Amino acid sequence: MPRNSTECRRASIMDVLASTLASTAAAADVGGSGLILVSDGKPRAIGGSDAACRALAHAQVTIGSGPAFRCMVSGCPVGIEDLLTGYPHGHPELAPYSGSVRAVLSVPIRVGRVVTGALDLYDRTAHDWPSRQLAVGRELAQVIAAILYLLASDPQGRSVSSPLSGVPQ
Amino acid sequence: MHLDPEALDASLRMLSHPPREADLQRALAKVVTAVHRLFDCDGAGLMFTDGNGALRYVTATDETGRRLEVAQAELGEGPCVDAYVHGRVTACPDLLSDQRWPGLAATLARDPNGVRGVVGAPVRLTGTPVGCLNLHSHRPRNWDEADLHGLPAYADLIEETISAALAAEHTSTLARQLEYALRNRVMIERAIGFLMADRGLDSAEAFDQLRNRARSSRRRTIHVAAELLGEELPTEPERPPVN
Repeated sequence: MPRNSTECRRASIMDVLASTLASTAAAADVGGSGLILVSDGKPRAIGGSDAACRALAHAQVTIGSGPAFRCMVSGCPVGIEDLLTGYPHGHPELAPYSGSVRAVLSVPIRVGRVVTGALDLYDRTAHDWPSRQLAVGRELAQVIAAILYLLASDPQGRSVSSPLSGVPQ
Repeated sequence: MHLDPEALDASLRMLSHPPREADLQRALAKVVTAVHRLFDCDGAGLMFTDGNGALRYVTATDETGRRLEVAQAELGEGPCVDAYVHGRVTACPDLLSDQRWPGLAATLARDPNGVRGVVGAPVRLTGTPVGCLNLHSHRPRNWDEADLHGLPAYADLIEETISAALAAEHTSTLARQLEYALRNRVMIERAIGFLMADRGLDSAEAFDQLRNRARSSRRRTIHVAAELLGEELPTEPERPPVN
């Protein structure tokens, strides 16, 4: 139970982001979504729209590999048809953590021109990602970036003291 | 909830910045632009309720969409108004031949390059309708299932965008106005509920009765709702200092 205004604010922000990930999956018409963001030069698994999506985001950060990493480094969307198959169409190193997830589309999230993370769209059946779904992923990543930027508004007027670190190359 | 609060805190700290007046408007425009690009349509737009329970133009991707929204706001009728009032997706293949909104049809008939097909989805905040996200086409158009089922998901993203501004205690004028409009709409909803129970009306009839009573007495709908419930009006937001 939140105890003070700071904790209430934090709880509200968590609620908004949780429902944003669910709405993102619905808008993309996929089974789930996950979010990885970079801070202090380190990728961090923020979570997912359900337990399986969260677990896969965590696994990518723990192993240091996966479509979100390829996407953040290249700055381009990366579509995975089936995680269980061999690279580059799959990521078999993630298979033990993939649960029911098979297909993944990772799209870079940019604040300004800096890649600050990746939005993952997940499906429970293997399939390729046609250009229509790539376009949807790109647009949704921009919406997520705008929502994150709003959530990072600090009414006390504090601003970040160092420039965004973005993705380590 | 499947989120890591510490990781989120660290990431948001990296993005921390003082709130700016245009942030929320810009974020809402991102969703509207996404809708325009992703749906097979000529334009998209967004309307929000004011403190009086009436829809107002917020943004549109093109001038004809802006004129459509302004016309609906002035007339108090149209597919966006119905989507908002009834809280459901409202589609119109051709506004010029649609008998539901004769005033809007007459207004648009004077504009040869105007909008013909429209579909609107209600935007909600905590379950209460506060606006309408819409698509339009310049030719008559039978909206398909993908449009009718897809648009509400983007209306939900509008809700998340507004909720993000409110959760971060954003001080922009638009955020404050929306918070105020939501409080008013909640009071209007309660007055609608009262009329439904007391007079045996459905929700649309009850809302129309409130609006008609307001028009005939040259008062705002929220004043009629407050009088009916015997309650004080919500306090209007102060204008924030200019950033």
